[in-house]
Amino acid sequence: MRLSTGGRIDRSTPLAFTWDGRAMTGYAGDSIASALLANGVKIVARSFKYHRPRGIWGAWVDEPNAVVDVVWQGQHDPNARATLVPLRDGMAVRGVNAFPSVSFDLFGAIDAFSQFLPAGFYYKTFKWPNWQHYEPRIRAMAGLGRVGHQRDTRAYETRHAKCDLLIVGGGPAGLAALRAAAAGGLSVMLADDQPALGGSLLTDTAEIDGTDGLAWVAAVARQGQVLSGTTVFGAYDDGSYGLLEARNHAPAGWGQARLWVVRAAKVIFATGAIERPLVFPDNDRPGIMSADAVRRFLRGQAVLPGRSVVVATNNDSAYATAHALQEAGASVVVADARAVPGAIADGLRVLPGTVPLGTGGRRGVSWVDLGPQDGARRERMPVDLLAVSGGWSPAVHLFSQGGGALRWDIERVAFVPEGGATVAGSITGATDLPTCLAQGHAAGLAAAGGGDLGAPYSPPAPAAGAVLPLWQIGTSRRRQWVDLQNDVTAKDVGLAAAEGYRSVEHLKRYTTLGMATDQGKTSNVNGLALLAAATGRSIAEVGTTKFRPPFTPVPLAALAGSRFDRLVAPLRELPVHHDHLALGAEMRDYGGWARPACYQQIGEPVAAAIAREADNARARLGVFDGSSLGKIEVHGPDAAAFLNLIYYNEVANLRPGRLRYCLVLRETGVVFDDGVVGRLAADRYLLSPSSSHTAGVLAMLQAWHQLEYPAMQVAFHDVTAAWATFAVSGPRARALMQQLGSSVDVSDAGLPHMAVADGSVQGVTCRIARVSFTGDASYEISVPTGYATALWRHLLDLGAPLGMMPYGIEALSVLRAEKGYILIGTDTDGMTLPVDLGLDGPLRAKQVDFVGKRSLMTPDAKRADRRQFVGLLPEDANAVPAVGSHAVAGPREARRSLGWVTSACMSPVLKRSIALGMIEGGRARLGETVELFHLGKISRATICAPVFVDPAGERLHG
Amino acid sequence: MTRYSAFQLLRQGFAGQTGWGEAWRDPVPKRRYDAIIIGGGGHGLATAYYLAKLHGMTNVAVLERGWIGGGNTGRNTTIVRSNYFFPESAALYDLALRLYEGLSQDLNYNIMLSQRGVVQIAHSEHQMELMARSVNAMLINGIDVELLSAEDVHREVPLLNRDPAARYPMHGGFVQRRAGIARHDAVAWGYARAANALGVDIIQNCEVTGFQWQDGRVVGVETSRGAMQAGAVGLAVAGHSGVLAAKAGFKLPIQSYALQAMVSEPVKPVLDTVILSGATGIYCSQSDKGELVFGAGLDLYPSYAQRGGLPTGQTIVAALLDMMPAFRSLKLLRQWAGIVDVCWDYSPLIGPSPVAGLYLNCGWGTGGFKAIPAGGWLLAHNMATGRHHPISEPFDLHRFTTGRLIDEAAGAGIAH
Amino acid sequence: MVDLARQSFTAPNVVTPASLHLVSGRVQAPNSVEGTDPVSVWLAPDRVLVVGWAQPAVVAGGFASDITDAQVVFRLTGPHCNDVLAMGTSLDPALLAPGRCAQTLFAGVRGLLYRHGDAVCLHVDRPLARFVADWLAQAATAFEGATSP
Repeated sequence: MRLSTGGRIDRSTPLAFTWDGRAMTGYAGDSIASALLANGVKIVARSFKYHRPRGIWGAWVDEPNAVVDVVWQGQHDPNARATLVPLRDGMAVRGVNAFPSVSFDLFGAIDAFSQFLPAGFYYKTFKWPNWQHYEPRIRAMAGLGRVGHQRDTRAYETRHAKCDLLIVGGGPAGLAALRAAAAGGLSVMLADDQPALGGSLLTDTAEIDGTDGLAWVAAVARQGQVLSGTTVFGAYDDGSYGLLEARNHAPAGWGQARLWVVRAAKVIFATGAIERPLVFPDNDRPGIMSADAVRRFLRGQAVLPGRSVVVATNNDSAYATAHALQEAGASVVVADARAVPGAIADGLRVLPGTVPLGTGGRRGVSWVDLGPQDGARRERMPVDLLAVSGGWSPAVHLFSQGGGALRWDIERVAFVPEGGATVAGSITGATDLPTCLAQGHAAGLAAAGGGDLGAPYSPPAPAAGAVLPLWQIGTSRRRQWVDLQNDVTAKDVGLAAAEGYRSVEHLKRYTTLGMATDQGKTSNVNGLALLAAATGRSIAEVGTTKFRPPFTPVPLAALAGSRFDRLVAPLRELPVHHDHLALGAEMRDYGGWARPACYQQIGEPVAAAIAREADNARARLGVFDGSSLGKIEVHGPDAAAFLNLIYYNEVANLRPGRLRYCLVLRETGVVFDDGVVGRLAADRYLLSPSSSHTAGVLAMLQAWHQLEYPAMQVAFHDVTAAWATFAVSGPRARALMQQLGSSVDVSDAGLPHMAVADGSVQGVTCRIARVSFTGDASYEISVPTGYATALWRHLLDLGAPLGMMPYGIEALSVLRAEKGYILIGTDTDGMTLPVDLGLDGPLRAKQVDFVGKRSLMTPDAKRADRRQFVGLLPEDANAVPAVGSHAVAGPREARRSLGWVTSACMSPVLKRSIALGMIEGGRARLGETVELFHLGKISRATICAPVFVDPAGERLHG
Repeated sequence: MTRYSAFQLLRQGFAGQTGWGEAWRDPVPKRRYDAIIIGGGGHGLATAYYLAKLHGMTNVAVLERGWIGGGNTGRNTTIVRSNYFFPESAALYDLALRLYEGLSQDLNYNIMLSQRGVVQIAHSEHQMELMARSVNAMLINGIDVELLSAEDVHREVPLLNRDPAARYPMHGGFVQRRAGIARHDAVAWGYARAANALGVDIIQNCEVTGFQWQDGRVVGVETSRGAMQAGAVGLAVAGHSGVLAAKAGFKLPIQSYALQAMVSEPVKPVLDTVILSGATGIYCSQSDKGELVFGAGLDLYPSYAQRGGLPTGQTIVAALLDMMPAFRSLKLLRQWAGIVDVCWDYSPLIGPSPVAGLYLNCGWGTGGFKAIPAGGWLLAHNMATGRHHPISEPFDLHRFTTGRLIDEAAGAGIAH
Repeated sequence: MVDLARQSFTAPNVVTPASLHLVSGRVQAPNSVEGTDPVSVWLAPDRVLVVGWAQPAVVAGGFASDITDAQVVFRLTGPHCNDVLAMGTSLDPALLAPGRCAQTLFAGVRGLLYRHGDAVCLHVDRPLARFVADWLAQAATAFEGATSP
């Protein structure tokens, strides 16, 4: 119920929401959980395996049960943790994983069979006939929320930041550290995951430095960069941290979370501690809550979860809740497991040496049996709320992720961090405010390298009483729950131990303890303590499971950030990209560049466009945008010698003004790239790697130069984007070039095939290369990119009367296939050696060493039956074999692959199908017929030399 | 060993689950074994099982530094498939898949093999052509695969991004129906229990610190729990192969990489197959608990990816959400990495090491889990007979001398 | 005869220097920016980028390549400049003090950053400029009408 006063809620702003379709009201300042509690909702979920009713246990990230489906303003979260989501007007909240509702769930009947379904039961059965026989039904039972078909179309912000000191946690310890470090001149970022700063000061008022605790908080917060509502979810390499900031008012189109990536030179973990449940019979009923959470709901949202309360505890901290409940008008009895409670018990009815022995109540706890641990006596008390404290587990998750070591503290009954000055507050096991402040202060000073600022002062607290280790209570046939979401019981832990799953990691994986969406925050320590007892080891010996990021679940969309829609990954655009689009180009991603596959005329299918472009380029004139081709300028007195080391072919003897087609090999001898090498001057070369390998070739040049030959004087400039290059090709190419009127003599004698010349066209610097990838006379004109659009349009204008059409990559692929020119990555792969392509000249003739040479001498490189590049003429001249068909030998039952088809098309000149491929010993098999296999069907083709048109290359001269 | 069955489950249900015996003993190490396997992951445990089961060698020990199955076996994304390009690889991985198919019965332990199909997606015409080449190779090698059109792919995976303007549109793909997922921990535990039942000693918390020698031959090991003599020693330590090789005085042609894996919160069934993307290297499946399990291959798309923690994780997530936009409403629950050892040609190393008496099973890179039964079966054969089985022969260390590499990445262009 | 016109890349925040030259053989302190016009921006131990703002720089000696059209320069100014940088790159802003430059990834794309007057200049390869412009346009919407950060 909701108290009429108190709490940090805005009673003037009622918010309407629905729970499983029922209309309810809450206030600004409520979480969904507090609003549900205020409305008297007991059952908010069902447990994963047995579908037992579940209520709210905790108030924050420790909550193991309350996972709900939330829809608000068109956004859908199928697995929202009710304690973490602020209530909004108009929210529709629903329970998950139950039918018809969590309140009344037919699947709850499974619980009756739980004795046959212990942890790991599925490993022992479901084997016959096979697992898949049962799997669909098991899958349907698993999973919490349901993914909808709505699409979250918001982008999420990512911010990077750097600071001298990152403080995780904005409670008293963290803030004291901020105060000291800022005074020491450090740049400090502080992240706290609550909506408001102050940590425990929000729940329990206190006086610090003579002022109200929260006023002190506000003053300190101004001294650094403070992020509220921000969870530090992961510690990564290089002092890098991932933070998730909740944003309540993001601009339109942006998500309600921001990812921060923070590089911190130093870090202080003031992450607090998480209350542990007690493990006792029937400890899972709705209405059994963390004592600390009860007090948080009371003080934070004026929610009183019950009026007849038993507080069961083994330590002092729950007494604060007992007092608070009593002040709020509840009747309270404290069952303290310890024989002697302290002065904190004043004013309360306390039963010392008493523990809960069992509970009852079908839809929420309605009674609890109390008595000594041995169960000698039992007294039944009616309750509607059982507030429990089994001690505190320091929140060491982030500390451990960063590599910090833990130690089991026997006195504190907790794993505490061995963190020195990097930890402060209740994460160290401290329980009182003055100690937390002092630790934070010391940590902040240490980070700043010293200082003489005094620590913040708070009145001394009474000495804390001892914590009684209490891992399991009594013996009973009733189940005692350890992991509430995954339904793991104390008995399951014993079973695992008995079966040999004795490592704490085996326990986790075998029983699934700690693997639910709460990541075991309330179950891990209880589980491993039970394991210790079951295996006769100390808790320290058992240890903890490895902590992994994220600390709490992080929305995938926030991680993806702005990499969404068009911004998922960059795509390079050509200089005249829009002109291509205007011409009807079908643009495709080729090696990270958007390039025209073909230019479709209205109503023209893609295949027809490709054929038309290829025909036209062969018969008349075509123009192609080759601007993405790499251009690397190489300069220096040692340029020739250096490039000779890198390239397979001899390049040092290339004369200025000449071009040569060359290969670059990897050290394994495999062909990495091909391209044209041009010599511009004695000490200057221009390399043209393929579009998709330019970066790789440049990296290779840099690496070999810097690492192996640093004394050589040579430098490399990637000028790919500085030049636009258009190729005009066909019988009318020279005619077009003459009309273009550049300063370069484009006659066959003036600029022969494989020559390059610098000049100008209409006052604009240009470079003209006579190089062909089509097999026809072909000129590549390069101008600075700024002139690309003008030149492209000018070429189209000049070419129109000559019958010029633009052609795309696919048509080019057809034209070069007729000539047998290879495409790296299509006709070659990561195994192809130069000898496979018939290019073994340099291996025999080149005098100097080059990258990959040694690998060309291995036995495997010299095998006679290597796959070799050949042509294929299909038997059916009208059928184009599928690329990827394999040449096969042998009978149908025992086929063997001899290689495969790498390129195939209809030849514009021959008007029949042609193909290229890599076939075992192909060059010795010219004239043989071979079977081609594709998806079970066989066709036939004759092996021939890999050139179909103009083998003598006469068309190159135009 | 108490047999696992539905009947026993029923019986034990009435008996309060008190009658199950230990899945494996915790024995005191003996001073001498006929064979010692170093590494208590899936491969090591499988080797011990097959030594005992098929070769009658039961005086065998598996030495595990930590807890069994705690290395890469417990960290992978559980995909099982045999759709590889080269006949040598097809034989290897399909041996594994066939052994997986009968494994739950063999081991009397449900490893939860779900042969729900693995769909690899092509995002361009060129990738479709490469896939056709792979599919044909597999069909010729007797592996069950089908080429899929774009419509087929969308039908198999309804939540795939249908927007033709998507950064990586779906052009088609191919599927191996017998492929799928299995429960990784169960594979380790199942082999351990079965090997133990045949007499194998499984010794945890036992770190090998060195080797014992005689006439240039390994004759035993030094460990944190004492020295043990062995007739033969097998190495199955994944990410630490180089470390142990160094202790034995030789080097391996291996590089190690961190490989990330991620798990989402559990949701009701939304993905019924395993999916892999040819463009981004993403792979994703939904576990039987409802969690999405995903990761990416080593070769992330170029000039954008960075190694290590958060930036790589962000890239993986962005690629997954582009392919499956409906997943934008989900949250990341767990994230970790394994250390994978990769040979130059992305194929494993199986066979004798350069040192007599010491055998290798390593270099599995990102593909070790799917091969566990075959790795164990073949290493056992090697250690028991002193000879290669024809299936493991091509994967011998010697291939780096002859140059006869089995370059799967090159052959098929797929990250595995 | 038709005169060929020169076009530069257009988008919000794009400025067009008169010239850009890659020059090898020039040594400068690492990550330094020298001069005002032309400006010499360090790229590597033996390489600088010479930016001619108002008029084309005259580059004498050494190995120089004219890459004026190869890059697009975005000029980031205004009250949200630092926020946009924090969104786009993990670079420590302190490294962009006056007289300093850095090469890093911006929005996942290779970029060169340095302060110039009251703005930060970002150089990216022209083929990727459209992607960066789209990214910046989206980033700008993060500051429109925001009621709280």
